[in-house]
Amino acid sequence: MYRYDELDQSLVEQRSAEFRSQVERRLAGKISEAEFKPLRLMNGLYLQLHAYMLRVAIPYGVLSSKQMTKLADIADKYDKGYGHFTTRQNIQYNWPKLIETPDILDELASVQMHAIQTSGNCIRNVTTDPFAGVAADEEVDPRPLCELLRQWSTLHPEFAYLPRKFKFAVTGSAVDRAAIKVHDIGLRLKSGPNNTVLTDIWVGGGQGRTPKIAQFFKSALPIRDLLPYLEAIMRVYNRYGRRDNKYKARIKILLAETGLETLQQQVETEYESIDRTAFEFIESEYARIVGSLIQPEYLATPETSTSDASTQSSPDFKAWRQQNVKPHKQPGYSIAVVSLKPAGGIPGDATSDQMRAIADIAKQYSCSELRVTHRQNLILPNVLESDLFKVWESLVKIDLAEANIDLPSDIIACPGLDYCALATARSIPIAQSVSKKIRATEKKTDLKGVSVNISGCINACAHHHVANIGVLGLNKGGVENYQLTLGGRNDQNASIGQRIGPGVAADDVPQAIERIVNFYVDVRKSDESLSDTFDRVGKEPFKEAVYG
Amino acid sequence: MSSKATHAIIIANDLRTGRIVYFTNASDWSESVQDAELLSSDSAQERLAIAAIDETNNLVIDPNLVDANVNAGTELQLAEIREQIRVSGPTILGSNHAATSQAA
Repeated sequence: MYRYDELDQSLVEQRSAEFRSQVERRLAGKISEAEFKPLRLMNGLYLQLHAYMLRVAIPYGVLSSKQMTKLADIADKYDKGYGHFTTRQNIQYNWPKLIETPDILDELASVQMHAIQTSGNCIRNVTTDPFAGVAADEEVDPRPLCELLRQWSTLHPEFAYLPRKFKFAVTGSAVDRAAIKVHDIGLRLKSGPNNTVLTDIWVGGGQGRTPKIAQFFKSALPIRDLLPYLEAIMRVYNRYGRRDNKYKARIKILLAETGLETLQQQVETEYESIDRTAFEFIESEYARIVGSLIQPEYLATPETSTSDASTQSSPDFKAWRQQNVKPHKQPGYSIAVVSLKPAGGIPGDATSDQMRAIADIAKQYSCSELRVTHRQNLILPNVLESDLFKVWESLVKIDLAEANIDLPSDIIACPGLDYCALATARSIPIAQSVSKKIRATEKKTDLKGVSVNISGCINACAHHHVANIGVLGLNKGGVENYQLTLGGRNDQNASIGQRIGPGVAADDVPQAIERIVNFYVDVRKSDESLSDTFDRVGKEPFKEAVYG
Repeated sequence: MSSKATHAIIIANDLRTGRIVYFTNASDWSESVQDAELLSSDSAQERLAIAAIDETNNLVIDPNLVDANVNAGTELQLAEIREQIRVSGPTILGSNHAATSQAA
């Protein structure tokens, strides 16, 4: 993990004090709601259907045990005993009171956390590969760059009022687990000559009502040149991005309207004009950050066997190990993915007791470190293989040992109409019904990598466009109605799913998804993914399977 | 208030807590929907104007009229699913969080 310094600590404390003053002035009537709203949004505080909602930043999804314990304590003290982990690797509380929010921010600041830039038209929390720094297939650890981007973008005076929100994602592996091609800017880090780091840049990806796959924008940019280049992109977007229509304000629309070549020229012109002396520190700062990452002290020759009798006799453990444990770069270690998707559960939710328990598990078995994934799960990134059984046993006790990572029941769902002021239909109850029904099927079928994402409106917070099976909830004449899309991907071959037919009623969604999965299993060839099968056989056979 | 509804009620969010509150006969706010004043089309706009004063007074946020029907003489039924959920709380199915997810 990155070790924060006094400057970071001072910044979050000052921000908390500033917000306390703003809340006091609001409650005293010295500022109106219209004046206060942008101030509270800058601190992640929304007003949703039932209450305020506070979104807390988890920079690039990395958490310590101490921070997770604090999040649990806040859930108990100021909310209703649970938190909701999001697709931006953040956490949301659904029931905070305005009058208590400054106290929450103080508590967050005590563990160097905050809610800065989790809302508003600014650069949002940078996301990355949840296996960053530990993945067996990783080429470059993206965490130092993510930290550099965090420092550069935090309270950047020029980019506090962009035309619209702006999202970065970073990966350092050929297999993209950060969905970089559906972000405003996606960065792929590669090894260069003489231990240098190079960056490929994609621009203009995004979802929402106009889904776009990002276009390849710049090749192999050395890391020392990256910040001024990103600054140039942001300046061009800030200058030319539309402000007349918020639905056309993202950089993906600017790219579509301007054209790739022209936008690249504009960025290059801006890049050449930037005073590079302001960025001279980049290489040394990057090196400092690399040095500030607290690297676990891996055992040189760890015990790799888990051969005791109880391990061998537990089919549930074997299933969990096969589905939820991923290869680690360090021999003898594993990455354990903790599913927040028990069959029939609320995707991404964890109770305060679960949060505290998993913080303790991380402390005992994973160097006190945790990650949040954009699929709304948690990760124990550094588990000795010989400890896996004990970790699993601990997870069973807190009902977090579902062996369903990357299976259809590992559903991404937005809060939907149960909480969100923008939603047009519910998504959580649909996800609960789907996971209950499909879990039985997937337990008896050899499925690999089928994603189901459910959004409660066209804003696509659950990334339904790039799911193998996407579900979009709409309001049709006062009744919830769900469109189904197939063939989406969010990896290095990202693509937008295709709508397969008319929407279905809420009660019919689980059966429709089961029919899609069953049809896929019937017609797939060997290791073919659902989206590959869809590409091969086309829409009509799947449509026939769903609608008969 | 639409022509499809027999009545309306006024809903807002409490400024300090964010919780849903209902405008009452006594020109006050209550967290219980049972206390909501049932408004006819004749009185709805006039009462909304009075309720809106409390927005200026920094007590509530965004007071607005919501269509409601009174069934069998007593039961209040809100016309839109969004407003039904606002009033009754999240509809999340039985789970370890259901009990804590209901509206206060």
